Amino acid sequence: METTNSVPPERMVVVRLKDSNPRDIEPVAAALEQFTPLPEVLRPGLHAFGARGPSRYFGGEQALAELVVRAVADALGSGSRAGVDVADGLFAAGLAAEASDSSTAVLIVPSGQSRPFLDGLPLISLSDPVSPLHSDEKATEALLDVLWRLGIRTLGDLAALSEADVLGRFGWPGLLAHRLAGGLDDRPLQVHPAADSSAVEAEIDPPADRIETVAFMARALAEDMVDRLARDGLDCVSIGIEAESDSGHASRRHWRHELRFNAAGIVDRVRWQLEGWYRSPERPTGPVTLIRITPCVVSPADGRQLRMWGERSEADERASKALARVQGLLGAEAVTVPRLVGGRRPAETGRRVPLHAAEAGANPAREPSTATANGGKARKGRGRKPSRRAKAGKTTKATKIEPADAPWPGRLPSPQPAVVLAQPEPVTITDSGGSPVTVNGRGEVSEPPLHLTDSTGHSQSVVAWAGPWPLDERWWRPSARRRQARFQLVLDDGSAHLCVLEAGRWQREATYD
Amino acid sequence: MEGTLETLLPEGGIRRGTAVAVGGHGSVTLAMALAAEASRRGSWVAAVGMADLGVAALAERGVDLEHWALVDFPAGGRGGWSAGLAADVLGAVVGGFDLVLLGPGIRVTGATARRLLARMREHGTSLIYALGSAPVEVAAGLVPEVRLMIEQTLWTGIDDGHGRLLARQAEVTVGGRGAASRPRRMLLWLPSTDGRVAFADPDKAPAFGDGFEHMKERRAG
Repeated sequence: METTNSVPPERMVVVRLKDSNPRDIEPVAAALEQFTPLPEVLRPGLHAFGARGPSRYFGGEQALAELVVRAVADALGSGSRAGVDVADGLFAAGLAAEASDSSTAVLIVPSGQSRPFLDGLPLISLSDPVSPLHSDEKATEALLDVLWRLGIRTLGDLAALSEADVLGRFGWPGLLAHRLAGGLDDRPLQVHPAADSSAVEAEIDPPADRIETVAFMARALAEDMVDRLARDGLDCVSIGIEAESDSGHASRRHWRHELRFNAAGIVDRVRWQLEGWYRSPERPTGPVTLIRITPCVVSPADGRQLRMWGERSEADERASKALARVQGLLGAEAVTVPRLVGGRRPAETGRRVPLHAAEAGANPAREPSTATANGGKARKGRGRKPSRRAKAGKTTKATKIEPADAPWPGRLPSPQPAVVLAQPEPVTITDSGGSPVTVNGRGEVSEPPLHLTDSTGHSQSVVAWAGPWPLDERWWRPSARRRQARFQLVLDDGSAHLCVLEAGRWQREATYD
Repeated sequence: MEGTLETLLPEGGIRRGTAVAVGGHGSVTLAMALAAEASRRGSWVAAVGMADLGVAALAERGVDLEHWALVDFPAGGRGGWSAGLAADVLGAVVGGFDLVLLGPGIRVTGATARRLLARMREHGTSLIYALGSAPVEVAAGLVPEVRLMIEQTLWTGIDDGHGRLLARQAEVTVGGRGAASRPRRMLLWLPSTDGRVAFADPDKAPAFGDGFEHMKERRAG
């Protein structure tokens, strides 16, 4: 582990309710005010505050946590269940609270002991709401997916990798995950209120008696605020939200984001706060007249400024030159790069993208700023396969490709076939009577398939099969509509194939070689 | 390299500048798994003459797609790999890549093979010859240090109209020159139910031959 930035994170108290209901925000936050001037809400059912001052005052962390448990129970009444935990940083403390509320209500992870506690936790903990990786769900899922395929199962497995390797392979999200797994939560507890001028407020006239009306106004305020902070290069990690009603009641709460707020995130908090407020004993008796949002900011510390990647290595140059030479010999189209895209057929889920198209930035299915299944984009420029001589291809028409992470309900289950025929092979599949196997309109197979005869006339027995899996694609557009029934067939030589029946014709599409 | 594959190769990996031949049903999956680790460590891998390589399966094996290139004749020109052109293309690829996967459609023999081997040694480039069902003699020109021949395979999870392909057991014979000259037999998951290539426990695994016997009998009767 590197020595830079390895100051242990500040001690945090996290209160985690078993049920997350906006109704509980107000009573719990009010109860926590006995212990700290600034309790923060992460989301319904999840509250946090700094432990250092309060634990000194209330006789140590254990005593503090026990008092908090009692206060929360008093506030919510019997039947409520809360885990209260103290650990280094929000990530460890939040996961401790998650771990503890099933057995014991209080768990203290001693200072500097995050690593042994985190080691055994599953990889998926990185997407917990207390994790800064929580907010970018798609990128995090892709990252976890690749880590899983690399055999990483626990936070301990991840922490055991070298930081340089993880950074080189996964860019910033990987580095962040690695540091979290190693007990280094870099998020600062202390944030600075932004300059007064960056607070935003709106008088609501006529006063709003519906939460949605206030939320609608809050969105415009939030967008304006986030934009202005972004122009100054500041991230908003925590906000104060105030609402006033014409009955003279007011609601003030502080919210912390696991990473940084965007406008939509702020609107969510406004909605949660108002929902909680309207159900609390101090609920307003009149409509809302004013909404004010006050940001607390930090400078972004997301590693983008590290410039640890972006340079092309000598190996990249070497490969690039070799491919340019091959393109000279075979034509530009001869060189492709593999990319994942959405789709249901094996030939659709994986695509060969012409090198020149990938190079021209037409790399499909990827947003430039997110980590992806192959960990690519945070490393700008690296990993692309630039060959300066592939200009010929830039005239190629870019095909529209669906994103890889869209839901594709009819997608084939794993394992994926290792061989996908560029040209599907016509085959004949017959039953015990020698008749072609068919599938009726209800998706029922006529007879079990018993023989497969390939395009050369060679026939083999089917020893196992599964299917039919129907695929009725693009039914909304008749010209592009495809109805297929797919089968997996194992032949007596041990080979397994994906065969497809479409419009009465059988084809072998892929082989599980 | 994943522990399993390390053990599979007598020297714990593919020696730089040498070739490995992989054959039998499942050889493409095994070749992908062997190449995956290299790509993950940042090595560039080129698959030459493997127009049917499944990209989704590549990703599933943990290949870093950003370090992988595919070299093929443009569509319509398949089967047109003249020996001279193949030699030029392979020569260029070997000069720029750390690892080359070669499909069975490209035959490298005689003086061409000797020149290619010399170039592989010069650049420290390794080669995996994915033979599929082609006989191992096809690779003879590249004097493979290790031959991984998949003798038989058994898919699990699929039955007579039920389930789906889940995992495959493969019996692999490891042979070759030098350290690999004493042939060994190994039972592998290729892949296992969790998508990995791993050793299978021969005591717990269903024996080959048993797998679909009951089904064959049922059909025969």
